[in-house]
Amino acid sequence: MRQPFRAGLATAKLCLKEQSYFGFANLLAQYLLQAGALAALLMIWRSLFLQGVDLEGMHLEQFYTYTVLSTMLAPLLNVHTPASGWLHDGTMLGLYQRPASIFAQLAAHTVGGWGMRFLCLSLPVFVISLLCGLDMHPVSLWFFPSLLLSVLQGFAVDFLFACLLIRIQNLEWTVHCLREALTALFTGSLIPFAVLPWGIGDFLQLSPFGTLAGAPLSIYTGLSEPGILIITQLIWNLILWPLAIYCFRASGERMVSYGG
Amino acid sequence: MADNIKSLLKLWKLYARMDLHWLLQDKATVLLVVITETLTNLSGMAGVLLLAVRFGGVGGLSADEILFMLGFFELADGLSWMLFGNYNVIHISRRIGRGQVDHMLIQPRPLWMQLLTEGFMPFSGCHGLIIGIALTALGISRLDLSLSPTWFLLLLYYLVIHTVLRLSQSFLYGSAAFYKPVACEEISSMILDMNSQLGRFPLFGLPTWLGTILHTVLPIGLLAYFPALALLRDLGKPTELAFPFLVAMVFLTAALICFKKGLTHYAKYSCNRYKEMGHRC
Repeated sequence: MRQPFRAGLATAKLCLKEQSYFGFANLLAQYLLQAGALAALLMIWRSLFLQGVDLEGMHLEQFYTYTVLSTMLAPLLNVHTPASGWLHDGTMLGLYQRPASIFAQLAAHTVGGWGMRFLCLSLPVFVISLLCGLDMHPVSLWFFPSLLLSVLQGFAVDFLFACLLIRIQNLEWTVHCLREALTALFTGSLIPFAVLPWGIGDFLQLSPFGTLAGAPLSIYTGLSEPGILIITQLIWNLILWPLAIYCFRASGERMVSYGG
Repeated sequence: MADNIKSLLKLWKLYARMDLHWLLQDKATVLLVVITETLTNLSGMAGVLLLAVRFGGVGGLSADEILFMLGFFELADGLSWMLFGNYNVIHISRRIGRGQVDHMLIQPRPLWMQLLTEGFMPFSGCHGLIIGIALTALGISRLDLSLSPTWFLLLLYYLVIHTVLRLSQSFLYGSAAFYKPVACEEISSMILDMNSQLGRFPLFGLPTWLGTILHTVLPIGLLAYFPALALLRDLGKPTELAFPFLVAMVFLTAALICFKKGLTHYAKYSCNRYKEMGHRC
């Protein structure tokens, strides 16, 4: 039991180091971009409240917390393993030569990749938010199990997208764009479901994409009750994981890569 | 001059044909590209639009004005994508950082001509433009705008400004890849992503200093918000016309200078990222 864990930890550490290989310019540009987007969205919420619109009992601070937390936890709320890229460039084949499961190796690489972002973006954003007087306490402690379920479900969704890529072979960029388009709106990471018109949010928050980001963030900020969301997350995990494992195994012999 | 124009037209025709052949390679590709391109463009603007619908407007603009602004953004963004999106022309730092400028330098065409034509993809990259035209037309009809030839000229003017600003920023920051090919390979994508993400927001209610930055140093406000205000409310004041032109020209000049300088460096040092077996590291 300890050996696989240590191997996973070592892989995660390597992956953390790897984040700095592309240099400071790359890291800084990425994080400045995300900090800029965060600032713009906070300004939007502010301007909404300045207009005096009726937010039906919701407070500006809830929106601030929702948006800040969404930026801080972005990689956990929309898990991206290196599977799709590695399928394209052939790195994936190397994983089959190692004495560990493919899922575990991909998970270790993914978790390791989160470290640099937490250090360079999430932590500074968290500290600045506290210094600005934002209340960052979770409204409900059910947030933590919900976040865990969200991460697990995120891995399953990512593996399913990898299977789609295997199926259609050479359209990595198109699948990437499709995924980004679906997750931009349907996960609730950008705009809380509670403020969407025509009750769209009520439907979306129970969908397999909606439970990824919308569920933990809404529970944290008190925009939704935890009960139904956590049950929905459990159900999606029970459906998507067996499906992901089955599809990945079934796709094994279809893998084609270009290398380089 | 006439020869250059002839060559440009010939190359655009060639790239259009190649784009069509790529798109029609099989049914799955057509279906997936059309669905993906449409979804990408719609989901990009849906967030701001849904907020505007829910609250009857956002950032000092009514819901219909927001629809018009987003329509203009999609139209301008779609136009620049259709003209320069293929072969990473608009993401120039990828071409530079991957050492692919070598491929361009050995072609029997001037570099400017290649950059002007290679990115053309009128079939696989036209969805943003079509959605933009539809949304702008819908916005115009809902706002009951009175249209005149001057208005259309102004629309065209801001479309050109948008395209110049996006390309200039990409080439300006992307020139860093001549010096740091690995670190800066994705810098153009990042700048363009930021433009796409933030350019769709109305910038009303920002502190003056932030508003100034977002209209000059980081000219996100000039991509859709400023043009939408000009087209909706106050047409053709000389200062309003001159300001975006001035900013666009500053970026264009800076991009040209930096790109030329970087190219001189590249001619001397090239980009040594490939192993003997052909893999890029």
